[in-house]
Amino acid sequence: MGRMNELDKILEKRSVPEMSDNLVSRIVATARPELFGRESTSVKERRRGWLGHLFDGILMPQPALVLSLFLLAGLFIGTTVDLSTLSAQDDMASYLYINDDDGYGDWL
Amino acid sequence: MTQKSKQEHEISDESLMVRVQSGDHEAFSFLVQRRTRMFYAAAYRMCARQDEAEDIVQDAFLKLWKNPQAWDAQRGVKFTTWFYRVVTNGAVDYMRKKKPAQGGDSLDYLEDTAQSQQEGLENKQQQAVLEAAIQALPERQKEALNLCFYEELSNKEAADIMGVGIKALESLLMRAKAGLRDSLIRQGVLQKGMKGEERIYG
Repeated sequence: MGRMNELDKILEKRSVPEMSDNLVSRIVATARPELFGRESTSVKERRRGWLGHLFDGILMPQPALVLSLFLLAGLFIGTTVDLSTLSAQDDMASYLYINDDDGYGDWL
Repeated sequence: MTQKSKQEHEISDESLMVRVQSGDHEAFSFLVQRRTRMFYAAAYRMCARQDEAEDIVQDAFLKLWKNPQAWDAQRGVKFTTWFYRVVTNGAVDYMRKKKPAQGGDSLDYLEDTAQSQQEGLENKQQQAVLEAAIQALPERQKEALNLCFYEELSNKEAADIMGVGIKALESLLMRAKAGLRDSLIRQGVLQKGMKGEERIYG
């Protein structure tokens, strides 16, 4: 025990030089607010963040309910609209047809 | 002391860290002011160079600022215990990277106050020998010695920081002291007494 006490006395003499006066201000200045959280932002996280921002604008309190309603609406439209009355030709005709009162003809 | 600074002194490190985690630069600034000296000393004892110790502490605080979530409040680990680990790991990495030719500081900072110049010189020499002997210890032994003896942490805290059990820490500490004792005897700082006890010289 005595031997260790002698060693401890020597160990206690060990000292540390004073740090630079500006060390604290240097650290605080280097850690600028704009650097906050940068290290943890990987490419994947940044991408997720971008998508997150996009979806943040859409409020969907109950996504399952909203999706169910969309599905039901789709089924309803699908069963009520008679698709057999429509033909591709009619569709195209109504799309290309313009007012023929100006004398330029019926078709483009 | 102003009312604000009094309040800041009463805030725990852990509360400040929670604020830092939300990006509060003022809280970070206060934490740095409060703890830089303490961790600078810990880093210096690992590398024995002032400039390197300052770099190590700066790097550690910057890592903390950039990724404060690394400290998990839920785990109940004290901030200082956790940050000792960050600083000592940083110091170990730093020393592994640096060139082996680099030595320690010249110890010119030691003042010869209230001692004769001769005593001052002997004191400097003794410190230089002691510093060299400590720096020559294996890393883990040096870490154990620094944490338990100089940082005055409990064995439990030091063991947590080093990621070892208490028995392993005690073993490291014992080997560190035994190695130091042998080294200092060889250097003539400690001398073996007639009945196996060492005496301090210098």
